[in-house]
Amino acid sequence: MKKRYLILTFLIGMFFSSCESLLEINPVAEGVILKTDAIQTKDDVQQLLNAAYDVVNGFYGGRFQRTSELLADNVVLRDGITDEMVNIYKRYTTGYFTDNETYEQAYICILRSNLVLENIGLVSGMTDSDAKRMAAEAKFLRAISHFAVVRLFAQPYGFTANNDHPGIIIKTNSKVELLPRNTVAEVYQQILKDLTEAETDLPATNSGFAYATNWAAKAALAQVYFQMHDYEKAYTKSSEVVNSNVFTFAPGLSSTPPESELIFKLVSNETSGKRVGGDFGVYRSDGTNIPNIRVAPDVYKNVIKASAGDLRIDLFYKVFNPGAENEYIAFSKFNSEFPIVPIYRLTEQKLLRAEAALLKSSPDLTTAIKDVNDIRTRAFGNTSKNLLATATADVVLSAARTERRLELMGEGYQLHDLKRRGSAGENILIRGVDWDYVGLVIQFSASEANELFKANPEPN
Amino acid sequence: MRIIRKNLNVLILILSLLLGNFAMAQQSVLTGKVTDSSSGESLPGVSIVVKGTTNGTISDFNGEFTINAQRGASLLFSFVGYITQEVKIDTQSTLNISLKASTEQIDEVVIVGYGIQKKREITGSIAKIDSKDIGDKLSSSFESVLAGQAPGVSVTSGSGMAGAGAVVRVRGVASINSAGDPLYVVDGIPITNDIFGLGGRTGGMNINPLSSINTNDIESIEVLKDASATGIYGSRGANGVVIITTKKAKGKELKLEFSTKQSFSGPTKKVNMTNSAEWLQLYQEAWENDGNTGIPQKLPGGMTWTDAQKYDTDWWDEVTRTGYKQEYNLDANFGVAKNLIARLGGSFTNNQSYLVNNDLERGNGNLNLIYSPSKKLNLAVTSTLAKTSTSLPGNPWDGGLGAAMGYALPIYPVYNADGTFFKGGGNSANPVMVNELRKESNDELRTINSFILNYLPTSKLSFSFTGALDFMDFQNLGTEQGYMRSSGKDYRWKNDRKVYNWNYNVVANYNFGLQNGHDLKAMLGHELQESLTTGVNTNWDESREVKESSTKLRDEHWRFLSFFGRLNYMYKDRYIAQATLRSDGSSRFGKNNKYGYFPTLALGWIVSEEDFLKGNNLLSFLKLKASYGITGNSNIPNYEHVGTYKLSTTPEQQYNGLPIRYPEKFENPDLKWETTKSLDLGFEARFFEGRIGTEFAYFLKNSDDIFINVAISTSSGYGSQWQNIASIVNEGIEFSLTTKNLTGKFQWDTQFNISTLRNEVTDVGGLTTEEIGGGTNDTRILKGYPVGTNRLVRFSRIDPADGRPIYLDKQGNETKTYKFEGGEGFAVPAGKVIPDFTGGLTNTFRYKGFELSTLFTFSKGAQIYDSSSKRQMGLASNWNFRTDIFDRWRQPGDIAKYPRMSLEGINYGKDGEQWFNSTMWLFNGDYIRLKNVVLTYNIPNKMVAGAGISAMRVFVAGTNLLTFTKYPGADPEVARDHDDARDRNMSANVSFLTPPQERVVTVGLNISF
Repeated sequence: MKKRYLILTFLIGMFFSSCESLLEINPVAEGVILKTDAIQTKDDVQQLLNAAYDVVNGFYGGRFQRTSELLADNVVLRDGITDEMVNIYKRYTTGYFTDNETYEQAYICILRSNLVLENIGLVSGMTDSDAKRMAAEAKFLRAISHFAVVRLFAQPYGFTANNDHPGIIIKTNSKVELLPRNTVAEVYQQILKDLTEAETDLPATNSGFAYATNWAAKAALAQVYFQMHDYEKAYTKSSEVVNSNVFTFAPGLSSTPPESELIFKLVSNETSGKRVGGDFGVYRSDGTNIPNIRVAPDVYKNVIKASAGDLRIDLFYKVFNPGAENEYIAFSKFNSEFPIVPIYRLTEQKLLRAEAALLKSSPDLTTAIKDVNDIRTRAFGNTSKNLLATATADVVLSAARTERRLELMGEGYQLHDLKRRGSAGENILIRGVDWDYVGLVIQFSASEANELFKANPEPN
Repeated sequence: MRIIRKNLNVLILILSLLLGNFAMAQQSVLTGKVTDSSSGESLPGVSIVVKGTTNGTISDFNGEFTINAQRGASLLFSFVGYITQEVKIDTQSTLNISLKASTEQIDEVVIVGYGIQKKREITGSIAKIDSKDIGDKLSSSFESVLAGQAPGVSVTSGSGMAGAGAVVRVRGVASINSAGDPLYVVDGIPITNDIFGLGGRTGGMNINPLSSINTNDIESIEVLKDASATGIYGSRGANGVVIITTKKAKGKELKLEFSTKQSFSGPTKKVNMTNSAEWLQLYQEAWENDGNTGIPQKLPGGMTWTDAQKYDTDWWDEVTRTGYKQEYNLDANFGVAKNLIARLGGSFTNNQSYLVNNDLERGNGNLNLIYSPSKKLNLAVTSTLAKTSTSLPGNPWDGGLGAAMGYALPIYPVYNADGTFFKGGGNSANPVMVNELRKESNDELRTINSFILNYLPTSKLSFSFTGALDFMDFQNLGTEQGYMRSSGKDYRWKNDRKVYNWNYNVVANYNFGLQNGHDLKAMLGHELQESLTTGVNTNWDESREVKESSTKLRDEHWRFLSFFGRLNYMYKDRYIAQATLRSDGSSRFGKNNKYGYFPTLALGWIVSEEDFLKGNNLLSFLKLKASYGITGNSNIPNYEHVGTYKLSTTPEQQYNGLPIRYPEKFENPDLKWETTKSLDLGFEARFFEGRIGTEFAYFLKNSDDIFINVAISTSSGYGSQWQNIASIVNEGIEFSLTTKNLTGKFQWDTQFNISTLRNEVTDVGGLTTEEIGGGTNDTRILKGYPVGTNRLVRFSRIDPADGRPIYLDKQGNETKTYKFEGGEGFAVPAGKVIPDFTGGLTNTFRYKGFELSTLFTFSKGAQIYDSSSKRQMGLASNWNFRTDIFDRWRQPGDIAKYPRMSLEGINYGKDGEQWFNSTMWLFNGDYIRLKNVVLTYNIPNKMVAGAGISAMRVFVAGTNLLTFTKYPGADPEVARDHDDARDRNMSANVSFLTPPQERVVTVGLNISF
């Protein structure tokens, strides 16, 4: 009798141990699927690529820009702020108080791009042309992500003669591994390789420029070469964009960049509720928004208002509590609930070209003057402040740089322009410190450092 | 002794049915009753055997028996825990026997996993606490009564809030990221105790799923500590197992019990905050020290100097009151039908703590039915239902008592002139407003139900089947009135979790019935447990176009599939061996480690049974024991080993109107349990016939594969992942001593226990302390240091010349610069939260009907990091000061404890810094506390018998009446509200505006009918 019970117990046991499936419980949540089921078809890869685009908003949607501005000299931070913006603004970011968000989001974009590249050849339904386009888009995104990180987290190109100073990790696969930092030279080399390949393979149009085109790749290349002091190539690439006739320079000034100028953009959609550019919210001064980042009073007085009649003064800025002790100057050009974020746009490319035209080995003064005058004509509503055709190269260069600062105020360009000029040999001070001051390089999150990965030095 | 009897009830019932009545003819019939010699209560289940025969019986539920025996024969009356009595039969036909309790508690039984064992034969380390030691000690939740009563079990009571839980750690801390709590098993059901899964922190305390268990319903608590005891729980036993046995039906006789407790409470200490004039003076001093002159400007809350002088609000008084608690229990025991007995109980508790707006109300009902249709079969159903509702003040920093010690300045009024609440300092600065306009509560409905079937086909073989369901509906809900919100519109929320936790187990026991002094028993079992938690968070915001917004949370679903067995062997009543093996499969483990195997082996030797000690009057009992085994901990989040992708589910998640999908979690197919290898060596000894008893244990727990939620290198694009990385060692000694100092009319018993603990993180897999993280409480994981090492900048002294704090840099050189983190930072391991030793001392005095019992608990060697004092005694800010700051530097030459007053971080070593995490706030956490004192009077039966009362007891009890400590903060016994399981492991002794515990005086009454 007892045998029977023992046998029964064992049978029950056998039954359950054979039910391996009892121990396989997968997460059940809306919008969650298993990795093993995730990438099977061309559409899946396309969705993965869309996700890589989507995360661009995590760093170029205002985060990269505001961090750059906080380090530079255009803005001031509102009193009483207690988050990591204080550390960035005071230029002592640490392993705990730093802009980890830009870093993290950029590498998420890189991971998604790498997964696209790794899966293109493995899924069903992929045509050659789709494969080529998607690979080019992934390379474009991978490049602009690396470009964002290397500008904030390393000393600029030109800081050392060979650019063998520590840059950032180059990720060209989806492996999870500990890696050392690559040199700045290596990072720029990889960025150029990706962008050049993307330029070749990208289409000329792609869903209203919310996706990458060969024009976006050219604009990105122009910025990269510009940062590398390679003004020859920066001039060439920006000229290709400016002269393409795909984008139209808007004759009238508007507070937000006109659609016709946008080369690559992130788009909000009020109907669907999609919102990008949320990180520009720290500038906003509309409704109940009180801006945490404000225009530096001296910049407002001496730079922005330097020329009477500049229409940008009233269109881009608003003075609060004028004359009172608590007066401050707010940006108004970011006041939008559902903004469109321009990543590359014509105005910037024209100003880049103007400066590159003057700095390249055989200066093109005429083009530079024309570009500057286009901007000024629009800014003043007339030609009264235009450069004369006889203006000297120095005057034009100074004008080009001033206009670049005025047009792109708050958009994160000033810091990298100053570092570029400093590393090219100019004596540049940024809000009281040298262009190569350690505090002007953002510190990595404490958890990123390990035996292989050395953090940045911190100010004492 | 009564307790053991109750525990054994079911077994006795079965035994009595089994043995039956072997009557023989032509003999005289004897009837009688067996009672307890001290209490006079009837004793059921006493074995009565005619000496030298197999003729015997068992006393029934009224202690009565009938037996046939020849004249001149002797009857042996024996019962667990009592001295066996031999009575010669003469001419009598009735025989009333009173049995004397044995001081030698050798036959005491202990609940072990999936069974019971005689304490004498146990080779493991198990601490047992009887209901007697639980019942009168007032606590908001049952686990806190373990404090000081179970060696090796560290219990850190949380705070003075109603229903606040305690951090319970068995033999140290062996986890980092995963919950280090022991496994709680109620009547065989591993119950839901997932604090953070339910929502973690609400209103200033962690959710406590154990608070729905009524201490009055608990018969006993056994804490299994070493591997040989917890091994049968395999992958879930490494952090110890707490077995809770509830009271069960016993006997057919109708018995009613009523008890009530009425208590008043206050805080153990009032923290002294400055009043308005003092605060203003300190602010002015800071203002002037910083080089300013004139009337200080920039007062917080938009106050002007003149206005500030008008008010003097004592916020502590505004948010505290005299706590009042009442508890009523009514239990009935009765026979329902033939072979069917029942226990039905109900209770109501209203526990109002000393904090305004902090009331716990709980109603409990429970039913136990035992049906014994035949001597081979026994069925039992137990069902409990508890409805608990706890109202909560705000988080420490924005409401309740915490605000009164922080943001709520004495210069702020409660009300504006127009009668509205003052909110110039923000919501956090007016806890009266928060209490009034913000209502939050934790509402919980919980029911634990089990069905047990015991079947004994032969005298050697038995089976049991247990099926159980533990269901919990937990809601955190509340409303916030528009006046508190920037939108001006009301806001309401409800976070709902439903936990379905069910299991069954089948256990077969076989006694081989060997001869010649060999005794071999085997147990085999199988268990399946499944748990599903669903959750929905909903909120209603009147300022939104669509007011209701609801989020469905991920289902948390897991299973454990287990097989286990135990072999117990004993030779000649003295040589003992036990082996257990459990295999656990779990849905939480990665595919490369789906099953874990957990073996243990234990040996024991009852030396006192040997000829050379037998009959020794000095050493009446000596047992040596040793065990070694492997156990595990599986408290990991579900699905952690699974690689997942996310898909866009709403248009706003899409990119440019097109769907997206992306990797969410990186897979870890190797994920498995934490492995603990435990060695336990010990002895139990009793001297002078049990007047002195002592137990000693040495343990060494090597825990490997400890989970760390590793931040995967950010450059990989993934976030974090649980990996089995670290190693921790816990080593210690436990010693307990029980003495009967005085016997006779005036009795005095003493129980003393002490446990030491050495805890060290021995490996962190090459991770830096930053990668492991720790954050809010400045406690860290560092190789070579204990779990929860205070990592702080060392404070050296105050410079008498300028009153600035002097710190020590990494090399130990004095510096006035404060630099915390980074490679160049000065933060170093500076203290630890784990005590070197803890323990308790209980003295019990009895005289006639009176009993006085005192319990002191003590702790030595831990530091307390009073995280909030860096703001209460640091820079002048929008926080109130503690009066401790009066001992500060004021003028050159001053030797002071605290630095000069200032508004600027630069004066304390770093520009822009407000919070200086230095050892200035790290305090000695040693304490001795009179945890409990109870004075009981058992009213003599004859005085109350007329009213149909069989027993009546009144008592007065005090909790936390006295505390001896050097700790300057609120309470040295503290566990703050934690962020997550890691924080709970690492930051036991960290305080952040944590309300001190309650000092309670209780009067109670117990009546039995």
